[in-house]
Amino acid sequence: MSLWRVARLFARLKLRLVRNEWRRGASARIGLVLSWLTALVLGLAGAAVAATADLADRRVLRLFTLVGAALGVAFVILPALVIGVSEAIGPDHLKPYPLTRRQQVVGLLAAATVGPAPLAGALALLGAVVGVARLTAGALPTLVAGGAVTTYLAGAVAASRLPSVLLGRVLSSRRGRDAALVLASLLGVAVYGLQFVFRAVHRLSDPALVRLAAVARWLPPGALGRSLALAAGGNAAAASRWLAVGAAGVAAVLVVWSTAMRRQLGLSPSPAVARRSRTTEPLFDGLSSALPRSSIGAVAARELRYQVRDPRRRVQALTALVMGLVWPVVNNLHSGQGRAATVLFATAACWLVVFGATNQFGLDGRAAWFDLTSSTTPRRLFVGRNLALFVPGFLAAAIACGVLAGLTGGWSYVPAAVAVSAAGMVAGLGGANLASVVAPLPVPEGGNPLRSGNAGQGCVAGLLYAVALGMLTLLLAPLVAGITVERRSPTACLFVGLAGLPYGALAWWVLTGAAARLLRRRIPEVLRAVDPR
Amino acid sequence: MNGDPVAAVPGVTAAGPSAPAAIELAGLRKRFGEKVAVNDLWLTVPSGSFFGLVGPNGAGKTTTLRMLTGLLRPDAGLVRVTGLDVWPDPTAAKVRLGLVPDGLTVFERLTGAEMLVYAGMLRGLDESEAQVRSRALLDALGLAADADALIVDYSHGMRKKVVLASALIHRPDVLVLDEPFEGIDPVSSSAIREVLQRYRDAGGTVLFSSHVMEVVERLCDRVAIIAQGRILAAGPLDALPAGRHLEEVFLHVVGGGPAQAGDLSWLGRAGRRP
Repeated sequence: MSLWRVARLFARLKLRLVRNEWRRGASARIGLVLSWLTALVLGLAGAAVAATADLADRRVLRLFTLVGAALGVAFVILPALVIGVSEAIGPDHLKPYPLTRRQQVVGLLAAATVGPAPLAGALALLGAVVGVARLTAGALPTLVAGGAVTTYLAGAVAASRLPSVLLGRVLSSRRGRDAALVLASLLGVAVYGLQFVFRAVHRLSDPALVRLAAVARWLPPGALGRSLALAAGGNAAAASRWLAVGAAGVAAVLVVWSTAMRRQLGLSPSPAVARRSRTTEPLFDGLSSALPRSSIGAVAARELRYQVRDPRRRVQALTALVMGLVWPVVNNLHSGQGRAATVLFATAACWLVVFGATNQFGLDGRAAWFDLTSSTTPRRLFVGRNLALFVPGFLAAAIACGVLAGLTGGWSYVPAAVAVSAAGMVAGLGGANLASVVAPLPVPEGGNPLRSGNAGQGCVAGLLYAVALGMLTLLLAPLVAGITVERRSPTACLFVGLAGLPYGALAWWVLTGAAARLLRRRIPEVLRAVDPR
Repeated sequence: MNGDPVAAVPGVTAAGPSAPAAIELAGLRKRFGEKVAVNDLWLTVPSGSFFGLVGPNGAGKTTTLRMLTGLLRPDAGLVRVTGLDVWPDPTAAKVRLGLVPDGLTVFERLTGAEMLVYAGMLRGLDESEAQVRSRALLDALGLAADADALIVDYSHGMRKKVVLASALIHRPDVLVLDEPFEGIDPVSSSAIREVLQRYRDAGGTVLFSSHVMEVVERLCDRVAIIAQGRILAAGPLDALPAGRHLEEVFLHVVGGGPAQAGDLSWLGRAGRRP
């Protein structure tokens, strides 16, 4: 089969996949329309800027170098975030077919040129060629600019395929996915730190930009951006040199991609069976050894193991700890005051554990049948799950209290913070139990680490989740209001916490009872909701 | 259909005259939107039998088994397990049931040993008894060496075996399995068959769905053929005349046959390449 035919076949295949996305339902259609519209708007905006900018200006030259490099990096990073979600054609799809390596490379490149991102890139780059043509009368600079644009697009498309080839195997292994999930959660938490990056960028002086551009121009996309800007200035010779630099870089990317792909096509996954040390009590060791030896204890022990072993639960725990500890510490340091009442912020760790418990059956939806078809009563299931959530959540809050008290000297607030945390968790878990039965949602266990927190059900799921959070907020509101009003008095805060304990217990009793009664009647509906296969 | 060696009257029971019923399904119906998955299904499975529910893909096997085990609410009809009506009190019925569903997802971040102890305790066994039974099942199913590995790292066959062990650990009266032999190797299949036979020999009732006729023929003493949500034929397998296989009866009852239409003559042109 000729390379041209292979390219056409793959491009058509990708187009068919995009078209079939339309048939997946309303949310998929909305997503599809939005992504194409976004691509179109971004592409046209990029084209307009590139066509009208004064490309001969040296500052614009630097800007093009930097923007070119940044977009090139984006083309690598963004597809990496959707590994396992995107329907893109990957090397694994080609394994059964008798294609040569060259045919595979050409086919995958052709497929990668179809889609919203390549469309946006192509439009913007076309605008750049128009801009060059507008500025220079010569055909040669325009030709060089065309070459730079084409090379840039090919490089971007190849680079966008790199993550799936280089990381696909790693991320599709259980350990790889687990590690990626935890890393992704750290990235999510680090969003808070983005403000510092933006401030730093804002402060970048001209000399700093110059230095940055001097480095970026040696990256393939930076070199091609520079080539474009030089062509616009009429300097076809210099533009050609930088085009050569960029083209060499793109060729290197293609070689790396092709080699990695060959390796991937030649290897077959082999299941690795992890060995663990044998314990005398398979379910009740370590922290679980203190649990009652009953169905409640078994459920709690299983949940505790999941909190250690399941990356999604680790993410929740990590986020709770970060929000309960790091956030108050950073704020405290930022304000430069050692306010003792900061200790009360440690209760945030508990709130987050509670918020994370609003979809208890969805997190392992495909295994939920096991608990729900056992003869254990729904109430015992809830008690076991709540026990497993309460113990580590409460411990995290207590640790956060201690650390914050050590930093701020607010030891007098520790008893109040601990009592409020306990009361809030108990009340909140009751609400979370009810929410788990009223609005169970599936949580897909995809290959993409960043999708872990997404119920995958779009707007409806978001609304249900928002309602559940609203209900929990109402439940916790008396406690939060109490400590906010009385924040200047540790004794009054302690009183709020102590008064909150019976409130929390009562709320838990009533709401868990309602949840258990409802679950008894709704088991098939809950199962269908969390595992809609 | 009337000439079939297995009782070929829709809705007929497959129970012998004196066997008490382990499972009774009466007038079961389930509809998903426009699609009628199970349509007035009647079936009786005698206690102590090894019962095969066979049918083509989409016949309603899984839907029927899910309604029987409390996973899916029927639109109409009655489900009884050892005389107990399942739907008014699913929890009580579940004490008597063991289930191996299709799809095989259990708590994969537990080890095999942990999973079995968990299953036992969830079913009311005390910890020591759950451990003893867990070890015995792991040994019998050839999983002892991997007992302390996480289930997420298990192969497909190992997962099937651990789910089966989880379903057996409380010694249910009735074991319901949905496609238990699908996609597993002969060694695992043999281990599962062996355990199922021992369970049945000890008085248990096995109901399993399959579309692999050889397996059903080898294991079962009774069979029901389901298609388009109805039982088309049911009865003891030893009623099959000598030399006649279940697959022939199945194809006759269900109405399948060799591929029709479509020119496949090109399949014979060996050596020709595009």
